[in-house]
Amino acid sequence: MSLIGGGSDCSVNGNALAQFNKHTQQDRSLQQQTANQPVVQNGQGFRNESMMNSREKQHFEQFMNGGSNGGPGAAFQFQPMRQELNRIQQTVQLTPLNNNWTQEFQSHSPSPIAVQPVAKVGSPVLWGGEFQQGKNAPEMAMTHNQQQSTPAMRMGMGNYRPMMGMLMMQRPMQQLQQQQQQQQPVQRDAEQNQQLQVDWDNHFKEVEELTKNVEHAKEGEPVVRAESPDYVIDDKYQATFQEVWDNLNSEAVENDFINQQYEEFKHTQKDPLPADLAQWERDFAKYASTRAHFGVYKFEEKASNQFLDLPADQDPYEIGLQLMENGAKLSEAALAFEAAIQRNENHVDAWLKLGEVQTQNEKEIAGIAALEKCLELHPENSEALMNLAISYINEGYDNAAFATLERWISTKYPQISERAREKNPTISDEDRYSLNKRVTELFMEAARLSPNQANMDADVQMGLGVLFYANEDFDKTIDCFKAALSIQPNDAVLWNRLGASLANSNRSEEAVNAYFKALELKPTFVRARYNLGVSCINIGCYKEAAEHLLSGLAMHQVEGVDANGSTLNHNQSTSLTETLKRAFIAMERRDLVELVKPGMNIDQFRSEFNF
Amino acid sequence: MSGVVADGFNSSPMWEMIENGLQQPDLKEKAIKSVGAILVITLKNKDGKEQSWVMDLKDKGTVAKVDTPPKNDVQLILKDADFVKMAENKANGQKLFMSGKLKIKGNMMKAASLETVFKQLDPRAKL
Repeated sequence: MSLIGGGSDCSVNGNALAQFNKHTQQDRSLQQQTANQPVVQNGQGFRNESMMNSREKQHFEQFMNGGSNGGPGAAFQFQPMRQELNRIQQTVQLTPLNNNWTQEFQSHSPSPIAVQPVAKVGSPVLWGGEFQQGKNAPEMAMTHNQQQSTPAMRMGMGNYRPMMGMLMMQRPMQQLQQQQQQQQPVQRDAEQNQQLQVDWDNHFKEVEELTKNVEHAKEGEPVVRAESPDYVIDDKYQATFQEVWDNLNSEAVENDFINQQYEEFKHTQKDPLPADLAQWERDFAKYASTRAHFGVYKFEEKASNQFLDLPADQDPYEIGLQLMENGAKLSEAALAFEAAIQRNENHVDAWLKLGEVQTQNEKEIAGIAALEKCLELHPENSEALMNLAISYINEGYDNAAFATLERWISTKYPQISERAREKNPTISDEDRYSLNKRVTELFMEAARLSPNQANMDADVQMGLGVLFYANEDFDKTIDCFKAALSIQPNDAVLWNRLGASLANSNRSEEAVNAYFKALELKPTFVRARYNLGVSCINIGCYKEAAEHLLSGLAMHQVEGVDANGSTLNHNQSTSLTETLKRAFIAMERRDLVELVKPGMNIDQFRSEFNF
Repeated sequence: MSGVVADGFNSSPMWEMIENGLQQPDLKEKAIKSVGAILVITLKNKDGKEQSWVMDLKDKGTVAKVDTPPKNDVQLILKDADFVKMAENKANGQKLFMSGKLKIKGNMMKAASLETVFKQLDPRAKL
């Protein structure tokens, strides 16, 4: 109802039409039985019944049944409705036809019913004018047909297609009018009506021509505007058209790019892809080759990595694992894993752990580079696939994320993806939407395999949650993550993901609790601190936000490397510093903003901030 | 004092944030890619003072305060307070437009992309 505008007239109790609506929407399966009996109290003496065509009869019955609820006129408030009609009669001069009809209807009716869905013949005129002005109709007298037309108008403004819907709507209205005329043929009105129809047709033709113009001349925006300044719709339409056009263009370019990349990928592969390679593998190869090229992982400089000088009998990988367990700074663990990799470049687990650590350390790009390398060495590493998919989502590479998740399913649940392949062997390139839908279905299948709490796969829930997250379906995401948490309640990473989903669905306060839980389990979790800072900004607690962000930055510093404890040179986290700047700007502390730059000494903030 | 700040305008911090965001190469690139136009935003504050800013998201990726609007693809005219709401994601550009609080001269679609820029500049929680 809000579409029609405010005012007491529109409140549910005051608005007769709202009541009418309520009654017509009721489940009247019980009343239907009585209505079908030959003698119906309300229907008595309505002579015109036999003259009505089946469709109108249906409407009539619907109306009558609605009215018969609780006895005639008891629950149905006719009085306000009648007043409403009177008001309409005062503001808009009804033709004699309508008056007569209403009177007739009233005299046949046992109770004073005065509802006429199409009360005004004049309304299409107004409607047409309204259309040209592009204005909504809140101030106009409310009739049923306007009520219908207003939402359609709104849609029409945004998109061209619903305009066709408006035309469709017009047709039943005209039918109703014609039926009216059948009851009391008034030649003059019929003519008038026809004229209006013709007028409307003309309008439509003009608009149609317009669209053709746009289609023919893709750059024709100014031309079209000059031709028809009256049509507000053209601006919007052009916008939509332009959007579609741009999309098509960019898609074409992208497809070209993908093919080109794929060819390159095939060439660079030492042995060419075998012909019997499973389709999904080829798909993945395709997507993998088009990923955003996060490049080669950049190692920290040798001088700043103490783990490089370990004696040969100590394994830096093991040390890294220990550091993670003991709650050391993630940056230090990352250095240990880097050292392990520098000893043995094909250390799959070290790459995986490095990737995990760097993403948790709020160094997404470094994390992605490491995970990609890990998958290069071991394409079926499901942990790396899941983490990489999530990192892709964070960075906005949704298609790559979906493809990675699909790959995850086919490694962990090969039977499901095989079955899907059998069902639909002709899967080819897809747009973002259908790809998401397809992968979601695969995960649903996997979730259905073990519906019981006991043997539910937390990773399946995780993946499903991520897929919903990409579609901004946050409620479902939150459900999935909560389900995963019910299996692994002490997983800090999961708590952080739950928090992020809550934050992105504008539930910052709840998100803060989840982040605190994550930090309780893992105090060095820089990403959770970053997210906490973001949520604090959204809530408006800028000082707290700055403190959380600064403590995150402090954790990027590695002790004993440099005398003044500078942050590591490579793999800096711009998100932390940029968000910190934002918090300072919001605090209106420009002096502090100036201080935020690469290589800054964060101790200078300690006098003011507690971290 | 930053070049985009205007006295008496509540949106000054927003402009700083936009300027700050556009200094990051990756965000700048994204913004240019998603908008690809020159936007002029004319705000009117409580005292009835008018001030324009120009956002070049066509090739330069800059924002600046200007006295007279240069050649542009679209000009948005609204109240200072409404702009703040928009930047804070508390008001929706389409609704502002519908209720007549936002006036648009030029390419409507480019105007709509302003909200995408705000979204991109907004720090987003990460999984």
